[in-house]
Amino acid sequence: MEKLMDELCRKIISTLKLSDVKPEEVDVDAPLIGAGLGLDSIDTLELLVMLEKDYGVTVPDVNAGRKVFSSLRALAQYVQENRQKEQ
Amino acid sequence: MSVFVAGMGAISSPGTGVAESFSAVISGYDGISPLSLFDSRLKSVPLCTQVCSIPEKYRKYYRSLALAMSAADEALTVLPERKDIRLGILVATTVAGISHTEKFYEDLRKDPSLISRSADEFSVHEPTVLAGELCRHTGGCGFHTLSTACSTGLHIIGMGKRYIEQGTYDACLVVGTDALSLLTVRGFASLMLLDPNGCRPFDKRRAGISLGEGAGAMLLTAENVLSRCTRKPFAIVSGWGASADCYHMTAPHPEGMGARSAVKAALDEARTEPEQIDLIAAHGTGTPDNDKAEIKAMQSVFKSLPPFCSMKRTLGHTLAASGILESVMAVNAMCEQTVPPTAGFEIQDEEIGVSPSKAIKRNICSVLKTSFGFGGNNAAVIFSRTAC
Amino acid sequence: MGKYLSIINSAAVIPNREPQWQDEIPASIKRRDPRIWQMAWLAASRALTAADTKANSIVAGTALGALDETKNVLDGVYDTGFSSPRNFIASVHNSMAGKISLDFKIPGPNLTMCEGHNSFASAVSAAGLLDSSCFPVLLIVVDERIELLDRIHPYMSPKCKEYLCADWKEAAVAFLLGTAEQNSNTLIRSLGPFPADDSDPGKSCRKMVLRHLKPGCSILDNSSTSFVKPAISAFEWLNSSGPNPAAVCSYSPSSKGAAIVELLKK
Repeated sequence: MEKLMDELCRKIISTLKLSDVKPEEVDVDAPLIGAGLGLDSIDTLELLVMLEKDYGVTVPDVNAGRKVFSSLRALAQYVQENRQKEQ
Repeated sequence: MSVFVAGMGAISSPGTGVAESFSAVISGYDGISPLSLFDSRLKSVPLCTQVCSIPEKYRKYYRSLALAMSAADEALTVLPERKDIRLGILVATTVAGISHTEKFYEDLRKDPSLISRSADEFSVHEPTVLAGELCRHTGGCGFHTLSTACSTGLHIIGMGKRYIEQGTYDACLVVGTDALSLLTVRGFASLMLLDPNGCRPFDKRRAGISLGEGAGAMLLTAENVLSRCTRKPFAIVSGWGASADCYHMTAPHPEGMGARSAVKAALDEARTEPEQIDLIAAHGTGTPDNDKAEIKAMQSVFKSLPPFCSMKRTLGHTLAASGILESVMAVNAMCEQTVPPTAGFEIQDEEIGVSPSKAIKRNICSVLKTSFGFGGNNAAVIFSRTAC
Repeated sequence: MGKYLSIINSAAVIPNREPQWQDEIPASIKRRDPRIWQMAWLAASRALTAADTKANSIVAGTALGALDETKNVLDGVYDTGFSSPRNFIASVHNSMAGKISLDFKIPGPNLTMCEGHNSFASAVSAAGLLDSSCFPVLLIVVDERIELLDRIHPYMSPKCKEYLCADWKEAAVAFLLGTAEQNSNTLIRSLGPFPADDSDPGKSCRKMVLRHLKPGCSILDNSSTSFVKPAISAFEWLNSSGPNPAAVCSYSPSSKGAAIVELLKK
């Protein structure tokens, strides 16, 4: 789980070009959208594309996406659960 | 000075020509079908409207130009003799020649030696090329190309009106055209804006748009040109309003503030009170956000909302063409004194609290058409009957 | 000819001349937004800051918009089956003007003219249609140099090559416009685009200048070697003592249309 969280963190940083963010500084329980990383709704859509492309994981709609992105931990959990389902 | 809608043209998925297209709209025809023009490479094939039959003589042109020519020629049939008339051509398009250039680009990626043909093949990419072609085809003396996504079609009607009022042109042929393309289908899919069940404007279950393609055209003229036309004008363009939401790049202001100011500006110019509007031909794309915000905007302007409709399930969301194509339909509705139904609508959304109208006969003297585009770009135009 | 408008001030971002221009761009814009948007944004910011006034509407002119982002959407689909939503939004021609209206709170009409080499003239023409309440109008002309065009350039017809120098300049030029009544020191108006004689477009322009413009009007520029050159010529004229009045002529070999922008200092 730690490994997945770290991997996802780096993917978020590279997908969204957050060049001034260091993975070790990201709080795994803080919201990803809005405060903290300052991501907006279009960033959310970018991350949804990344999740499908790199992990084969889909999120049914943008509202579900908000729950999934409520923290890095929540995101890693979702990926882990749904990755297994789709394999 | 009044500016008249002297001629109209249309080509859409359900019909070639104004009459066929309008017949589909007024009967609430469900125009969508699985995309078959090309492979979108999406997991599930999106539902769109597609023009199945482009008249033979236009098939040599790339798709959006072929559609534009078809609609333009129909609109100009009312003014066959026009050598001494200063005719301006105004074009609304989002994709222009992309349906052609994106295919060539794919070929080029596979076979780099095709670069020797690239200059020719990519030459239709610029939107202005389309306007230049139409200008030469119609004998115009000037042309202008606007691209503001979904609001473009209405803006060029307003701009045409202004050009005539300022005396730059005696008449303006305003043409909106967009063809389906991989770029737009995949683009809207990546924004999660396509409804997998087809668009359901204002419906409780609505989940997005259905893309479409087509073209609409209007010949706008000054009064002194009318005697040269083969028939009486259809309507007067009485007001144009334009604004920006300043809220978000793709989502509308939730209270419809920008939309409201565009509508108010159109009403002011038309010297029309809200209660004089008998029909609203709404943008009604079927996205959860647009339809809700649009009604909120209307309710902030109209004490009592007049009958409203959306044509997007019948015609598809034809992007830059939508403002004009749907205006052509709205003017027809006014001439026929009939409010069109809204195909795709079944269940009222309690959060919206109102439903679009069924098809009803009604005295329609003024119709408001609205369109809202990316970047929070809002347009509103009011058409009035010539005799009321 | 269109209506006279006044030029309140102007600003330009010309990357060739200002290699560090991106230092002035806020970090969030640098990370998210295409380079061409950044150019337009900075030109707008400079013009508005210098004038210390708000604009009420925007008219933009661009030949190709964010072409790189259009290409990126397609590359994504062709390579991986996925495409970036942000790239798609950027590929829509008017998104740039939408972004500027968002950041600088410009609530009025927002028009984007896509007229190739004639985009500057077309934008001036469109600005002339707006009601006085829509002024000041922020007019922005922008196009960027992209690698794909460089690759295609050797294969263009001689005529097209002439109009798109291999070393074509990219720029964003912003003009803050008022009505002629509000400020009549420096005036601008446009004619066209109109169909031009493809074999000698310069001649079409000269004829139109003689027919429509004041006698003694000098043609400042009749060789649009890039999409943005007409706007750059106007910007340079504003900031120097060039011939007065002056006409900037442009020609688009793709649409076979020409246009004229007249500039006049009182």
